[in-house]
Amino acid sequence: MIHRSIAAVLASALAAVPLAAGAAGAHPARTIVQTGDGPPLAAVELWFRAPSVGFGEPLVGIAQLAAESVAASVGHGEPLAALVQDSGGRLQIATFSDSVQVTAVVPAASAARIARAAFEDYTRPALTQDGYKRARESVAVEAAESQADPDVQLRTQLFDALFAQGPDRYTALPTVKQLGALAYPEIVAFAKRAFRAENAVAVVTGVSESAPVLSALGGAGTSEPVEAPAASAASAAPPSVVSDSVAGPAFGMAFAGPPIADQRAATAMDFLADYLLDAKLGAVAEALHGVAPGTSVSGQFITLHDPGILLVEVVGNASGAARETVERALQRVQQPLDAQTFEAARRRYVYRVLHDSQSAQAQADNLGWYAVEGSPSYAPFNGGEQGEYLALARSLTPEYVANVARVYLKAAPAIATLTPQPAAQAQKGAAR
Amino acid sequence: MLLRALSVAVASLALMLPAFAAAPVPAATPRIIEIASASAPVTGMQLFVPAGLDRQPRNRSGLAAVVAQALIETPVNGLALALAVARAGGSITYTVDGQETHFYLEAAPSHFAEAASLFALALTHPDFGPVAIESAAAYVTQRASASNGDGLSVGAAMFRSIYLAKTNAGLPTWGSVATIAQISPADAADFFRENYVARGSIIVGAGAAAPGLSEGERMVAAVLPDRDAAEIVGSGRLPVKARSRELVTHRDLPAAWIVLGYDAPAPGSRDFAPVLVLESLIGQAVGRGLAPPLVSTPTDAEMPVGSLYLFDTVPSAVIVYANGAGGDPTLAVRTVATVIDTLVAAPLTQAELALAKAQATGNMLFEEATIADRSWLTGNFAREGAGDDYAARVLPAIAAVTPAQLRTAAKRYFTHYTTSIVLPREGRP
Repeated sequence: MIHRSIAAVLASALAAVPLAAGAAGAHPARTIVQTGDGPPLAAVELWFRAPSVGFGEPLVGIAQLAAESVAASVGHGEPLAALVQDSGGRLQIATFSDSVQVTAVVPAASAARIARAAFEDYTRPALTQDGYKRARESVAVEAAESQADPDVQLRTQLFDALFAQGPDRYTALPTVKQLGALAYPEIVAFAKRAFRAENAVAVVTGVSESAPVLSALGGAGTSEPVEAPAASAASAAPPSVVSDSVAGPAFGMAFAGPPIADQRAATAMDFLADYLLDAKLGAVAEALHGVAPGTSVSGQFITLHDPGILLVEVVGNASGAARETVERALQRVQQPLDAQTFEAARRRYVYRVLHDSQSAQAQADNLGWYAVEGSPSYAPFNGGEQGEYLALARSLTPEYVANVARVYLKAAPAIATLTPQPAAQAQKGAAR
Repeated sequence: MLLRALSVAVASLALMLPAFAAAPVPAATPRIIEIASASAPVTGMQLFVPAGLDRQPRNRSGLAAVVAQALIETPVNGLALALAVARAGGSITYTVDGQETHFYLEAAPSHFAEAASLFALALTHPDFGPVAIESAAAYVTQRASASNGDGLSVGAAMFRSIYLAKTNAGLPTWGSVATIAQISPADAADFFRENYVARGSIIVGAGAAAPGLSEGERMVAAVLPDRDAAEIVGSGRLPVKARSRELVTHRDLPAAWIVLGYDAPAPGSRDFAPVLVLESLIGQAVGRGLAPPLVSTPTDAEMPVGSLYLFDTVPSAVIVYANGAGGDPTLAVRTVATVIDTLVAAPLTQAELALAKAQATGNMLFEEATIADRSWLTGNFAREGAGDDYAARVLPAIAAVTPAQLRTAAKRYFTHYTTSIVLPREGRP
C-alpha cells in the first residue's frame, strides 16, 4: 500500500497506558481563539507550563521526549503525529526552559478535529512503549542536528554560565547519554503532571469562526496554568567560558534582563535588541562590517517570567577587535540616541514586530508564549498596531531606553567563546 | 479573503499622486489585483515585471539579477532604496525567475504609502552608473558562487536548463562569474528600459488595505511606461522533454544529491490538480521510505527527501529530490517508480485518495501562509493565465480529483524523467 500511515506501523503496539482519570469534560486553563480572513490554514497549539528538565532533579530532555512520546502513541486512536500528517498538516513540538509547545498547522477545516484530538491525547495521555521508542529516535536525530549548530552551542554555554540554578541553565534537547537516562516510568510521571488540562493554554488561529474549536476544547478557559512559573537564579558573577568547536570561531554574550511583569522595560529591551542586533541593519552588524567582514550577528531579547535574557551572538570571528566593537555598541546605547535615529529605529522595530506575526502559526506562537509566561494581553500580536504591546513601543523615549540599557547592560554578562577545533580532533569526534 | 480585481481609472491617477503629479500618466497601467485582508498585521505588494531570465542574452547571464539588485540599491532621498524603506518601517526584496522578476514591498499599514512612494521614486530614477553596477554585480557574483554549494539548487538548475531549453529562462538565476563580468552599465540601463514596462506587468496588493494599499499600488503603476517588453531571447535549441536521461556534475558537497525531473501541467490546466495530488503522494511516500520524521523539518533544503511542483515557469515541472546525507538516495528513485507502477496498475482506494487530497490541500495552503507567499501565488497564477482567483479555485479542484484522473496523470506525466546527479568532488574527505 502506498499510504502507509504511522497508525499502521504501530498497529501492533502494546496496549496504551492511561495516565490520568477524570480529565474528560475539562477545558484548558486558558483558551485563546483568534479568527481571521486569511487563507484557510489554522494553527492549533497547546502550551503547558513545565520545566524542560522536569519537576525534580534536572533531567535534560525529559519534556521534549515526553511530548513527542504522546504524539507518537496510539492513545485514543491514531497517533497525533499521524493524524496531523494525514490531515495535510505539520506537527512541531518544542520545549523551552519553562514550557512545552505542541503545534499542529492544518487546513482550517480540520482545526476543530485536531484541537479535540490534541487536547484529549495530551490531557488524558495514554502512552505506549512503542510511542516512547519512536519518540526517542526522533529526539536523538533532533538533538544531533541541534548540537552541530553554533547558535545552540553558544546558547548552551551562555545559559549555563548566566544562571546559577533553575531550568534556564539547561538545553531543551539531551545529549546521547542524557537521552539514554530518560526511562519510560519517568516520562510517564512527567506527562501525568505537566500535561494536565488545568496546566494548559490552548491557542487556535487562522479559523473563520471560534465556536467549533471552543466546543472541541471543552469550552473557554480564562485562568492561569496551575503550575507556578519556573524560577531561575542568575549568577552574581557569570564566568567567561572558552571551548573549541567545529563551529568556531564565534562568541556570545548573555545579560539578565527585566521580567515580563515590567512590560515597558521588557519592550525597551526588545527595541534595543532590534536596533543593535538585526542581522543586516543592526548597529552591531554595521559596526562589525568594517572590522570583521563576513561575520554574522544575531540576537534577541527573550521575554521570560523572570528574568528575561538578552542574547548576543557573533559567528565567524572571535577576535578582540570584534568583541570590542560589540562592547562599544552596547555602551553607546546607554546614552540616548538622537531623535532622528531613534524614530527610524522605532519604525523598523514596530514593522519587524508586525512582520513576524503574519502567518497563523506565528500568531499562535506569539499569543501562546506570552500567555504561558503569564501576560497574555501583552502579546505583540494582540491588537496589532493598536494593541497593548505596540502602545508601549510608541511610549518609549530615547532617555527611557538609555536608562533601561544602563540598568541591564552594565552588569557583567556571561561570555562564551568557541575557538576553531583542530581538524584531526574534529574527525575523531565525528567518528565517536 | 476578499479577492477583487481592480481596473484602475487612469484619469484619476494624476490627482492621487502628488509626488508624481508632474509625471505623464501612462495610457495603460499594469494589471492590478487586490487581495486585502482585514486581519493582516502588515500591508504588502508584489510587482511582477516581464524582466525574467528569458529576456537576457546568454552571454550576459545574471543581467536580470544585477538590474534588480541595482534598483534596490538606488539612492532615494540619500539612502539606498532597501535602507530607505527599512527606515520608513518596511522592507523590499526581489526574486528573479525564468519569465519575470518580482519585487515584494511590505510595511506597517500606516507607513505603506510612504514605502511605496520610495519604490516608485527608485523606479523613476534608477541608478545604473558604473559604481552602482559594480556593486550590484559583486553581490550577484557572491550569490552565484554560493548557489553552487547547495545540492538541491544545483540539481534543480541542471534540470531547469534542460526543460526550459527553448529560451534563456533556464539560465541560472544568478548567472556565472564570467558572464556577470561582461555586464556594463549600458546593458543594465537597456534591460531596465526595455523590460520594466506596464504591459505584461502585474501588481498584487495584499494584507491590510487601510490606509495606503490602493494609493501605493497606483503610485507604482503610474511610473511604468506603457509599452511592450523586449522580445524573449530564443536559445536556438529545441525544448527537451523529460525522457529518462541523466545529467551528472560535481560540486564541493559532503554527499550526493539526486533530483528527478518530470514534465507537469501548468496552473489552470485540467491536469493541474491531479498532478498536485500525485506530487504530494510521491513526496510523502519517498519521505516515509527514507527518514520518517515525527515532527516536521522547516525547509526543503533541510529535508533529506521531498518533492516540489515548479509551477512558477511555463512549462511547469515536478522534481523529486534526495540528499545522500539523509540515507540512500537511490531509494527515492525506486520509491517513485513503485508509486507510479502501483497507481497505473490499480486505482487508489477512496480512503487513500482522501489522504492524498488532504496532503495536497495542506501543501497548497502552506504555499500561501504569509502575505508575501499569498501575493506571489496569486500573481503567478494570474501571470500564467489561470485566473486572478485560481488560488481559491484550486482547493475545490483538488477535492474533486478522481482515481481515474490520477491514473491518467500518472501515465501521462510520471513515466519519463530526467535524472540530475550532483556528486561530491573527488578527494573530498
